[in-house]
Amino acid sequence: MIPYFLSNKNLQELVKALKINDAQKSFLLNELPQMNGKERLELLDMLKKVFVLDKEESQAIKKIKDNWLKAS
Amino acid sequence: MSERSEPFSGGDKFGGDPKEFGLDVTNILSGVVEETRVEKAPVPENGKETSQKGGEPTTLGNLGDVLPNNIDRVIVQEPTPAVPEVAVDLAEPKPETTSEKVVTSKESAVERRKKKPKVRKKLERAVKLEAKPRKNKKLETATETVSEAYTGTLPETTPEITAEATLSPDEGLVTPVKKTGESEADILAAVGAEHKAEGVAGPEAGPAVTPETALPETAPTETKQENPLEELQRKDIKSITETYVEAAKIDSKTKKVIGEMLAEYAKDKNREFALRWFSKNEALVREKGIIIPPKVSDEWKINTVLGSPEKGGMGVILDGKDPEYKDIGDELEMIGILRIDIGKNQVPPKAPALLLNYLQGKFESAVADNRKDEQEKLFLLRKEIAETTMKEDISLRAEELAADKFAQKDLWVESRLGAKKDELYAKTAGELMEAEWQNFRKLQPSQRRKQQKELGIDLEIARDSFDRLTVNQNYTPEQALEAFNKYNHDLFCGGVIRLAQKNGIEGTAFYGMLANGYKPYGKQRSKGFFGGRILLPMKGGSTTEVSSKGYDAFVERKGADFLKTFESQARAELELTWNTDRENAVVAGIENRITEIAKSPETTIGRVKEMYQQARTRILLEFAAKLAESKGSRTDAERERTAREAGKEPSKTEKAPDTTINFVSDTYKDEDGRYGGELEGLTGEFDRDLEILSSYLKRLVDRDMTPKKLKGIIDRREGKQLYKESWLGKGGNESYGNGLFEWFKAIADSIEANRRKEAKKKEKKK
Repeated sequence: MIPYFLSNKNLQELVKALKINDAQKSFLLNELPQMNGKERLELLDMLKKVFVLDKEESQAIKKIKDNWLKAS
Repeated sequence: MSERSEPFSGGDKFGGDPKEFGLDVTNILSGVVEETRVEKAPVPENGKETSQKGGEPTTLGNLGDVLPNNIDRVIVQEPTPAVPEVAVDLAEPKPETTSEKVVTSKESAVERRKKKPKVRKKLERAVKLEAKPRKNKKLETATETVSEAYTGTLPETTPEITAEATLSPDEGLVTPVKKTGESEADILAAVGAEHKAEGVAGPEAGPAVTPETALPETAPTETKQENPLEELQRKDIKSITETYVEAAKIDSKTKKVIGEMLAEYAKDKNREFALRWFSKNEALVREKGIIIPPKVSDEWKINTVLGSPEKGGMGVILDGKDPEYKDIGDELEMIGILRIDIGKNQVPPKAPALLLNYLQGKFESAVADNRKDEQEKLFLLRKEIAETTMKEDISLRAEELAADKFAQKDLWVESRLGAKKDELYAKTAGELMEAEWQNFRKLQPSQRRKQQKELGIDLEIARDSFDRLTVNQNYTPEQALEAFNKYNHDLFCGGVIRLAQKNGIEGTAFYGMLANGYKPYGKQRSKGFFGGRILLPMKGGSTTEVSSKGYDAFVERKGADFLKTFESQARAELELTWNTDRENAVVAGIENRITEIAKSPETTIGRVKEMYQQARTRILLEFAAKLAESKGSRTDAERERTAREAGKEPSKTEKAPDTTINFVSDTYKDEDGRYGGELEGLTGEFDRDLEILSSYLKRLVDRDMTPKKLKGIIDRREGKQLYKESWLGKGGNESYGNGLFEWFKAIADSIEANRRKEAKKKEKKK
């Protein structure tokens, strides 16, 4: 049985929330309904990595903006 | 072959509790980030478990009982001003922190094993399933093959994959990464199709195994020593930041040069501070009883200001916040940040851009002060850092830009050859004549008079006569002397040319003969009975014989030969000019590009975004490859079951544990920036939002939650202000998972921790 946290709804929400482009989102959303439990788990793991990258990117950009002013 | 070990074949293995599969959702979306963001966060002594039994209320991350400390680090993301970059550097997960956690988690693992052996066993089995899908013999063989392939080429290092790297045939992952005209969806689909065809059986089928999956093979002992779940998470973070975001790599030699340069700048700034302080506080120095020498040097001032009181100094410490010295404080802080970042093995992606920005300022001041050595050093250093920042070959780019302007060298040279020859001829002729004039001036007066006679001129005109001639010109004495000399020079040249003409020598022949040591204006004599030979005078008094018949041809040839020498010289000089201009254009192009990068945060931010986008795409492509491989093994029954189960609504018992997922979806804003779902009515004012928040937490975390109870919890933790700050997005989080999400998570954890404590107390009483 596929648990709720790996349901279409939840994974779709996650896919939509990440900073990946429309083509990539569209690919994942199209593939999602046919994925089995193990594939969904792998998808979630992949989304987790993307999530971490998103967070890092925001912080890196913020640091550049903040410190750029000091250096100029 | 067990079914569980098949890649992605375990769909029917999932029960109702997501924690059983080794992926605590909360950890995935929160704990992981916390670990990287706060490196020196306190670790709970009894490290709390990250999963619970299915029927229990949710465990919100591994923050557990440490909330009183962690709530601050979760919500207040602003770093301390002293060392902000060090404390919050996401790109650099500190190994020390990890090992600290590992030790703690080992202790807690023992405790947990005692208390909840069944849950623990399930969790670890699920994690092992996740971390080591090795039971599949085919996959194992492929993994080992790839691992061997890597260790074969790079025996002592872990295979590195930069953020720029796309999946290439060399990595055994993807062949057609990008084709013109294809959409990304097509590419992803193509990746899938290819891997479906390849399968995983043979060693050639490396695609299924990435360097990440190969890593556990090379370090099995490490895995055994750590809590499997935490080890997995630590490895994930390491793989993301180091495998995919490695574009900011700077070689150690450059790092050393940069480090020395920054240290020197820091020293200069401290000296500047000392001198500035001394000039403003000289009286204070005297008050302290320090005798200032009459001719005091800067070095003395610096030593006095910065030196310790025990050694007769003032021991002044720079206060970077003092408006008087804020500029120096800011720069020293920046230097400190850069030195720390550049000193790291894994240089954070932001560091090269900031360093370049800083060095640009130093370069411009070196140009203004005409410090050539420093300019040259900074030019090379800035070029290297700019290339690291943008991952481009700046020289090549400048060459290409210059190529348009310097396309046709031969045509350019030919079109200027005639003019250049004339220019060189005129210049050489002038020099030859000048040499004759100088030789004439060096003669003794008697010789000079003799030569004047031969030339038929009177150069020894009296200065007073000349002055009378120029009486109306209003010359200064210097101008009069210059005019007098020029008059004599022109008179001499005219006489020389006239005499040469009498010998039948003029124009290019005249200068050709001068250049070859002849004296064309000298008196010629005939030789022989019938005058068949002509004696041509040479410089220095000797003569050369030429036949009378061949005299004209001889003279003409001397002129022609003389002209020929200018053609090759003119061509060589033009080619040199062309090459120099081109090189200058390239250098100017490099300098322009460096300045463009160094002064534009948008350019570097664009590059950083691109870098992360590439990393995301890579992760997606890897997933697509794995998915394609797995799709082939799906059975019809499985497909039907998936379609039936994945789309249905969750039951009430399932819904409760997945707090974080719900938070994510609820905190996801719509296009107008409003929160959806139950949080729609939030205003950002805590007292007004209290009811909505408590109702939300009641459903998800604590059935007994009331507005009053929540207020009590918040008041105890000064959470009201934090709520406000979180709402305003303090910490720079701009999208999902923003401050409000963090706030919710922390509060929920706090409630969960309290609940656990109370449960323990009750248990003890029993």
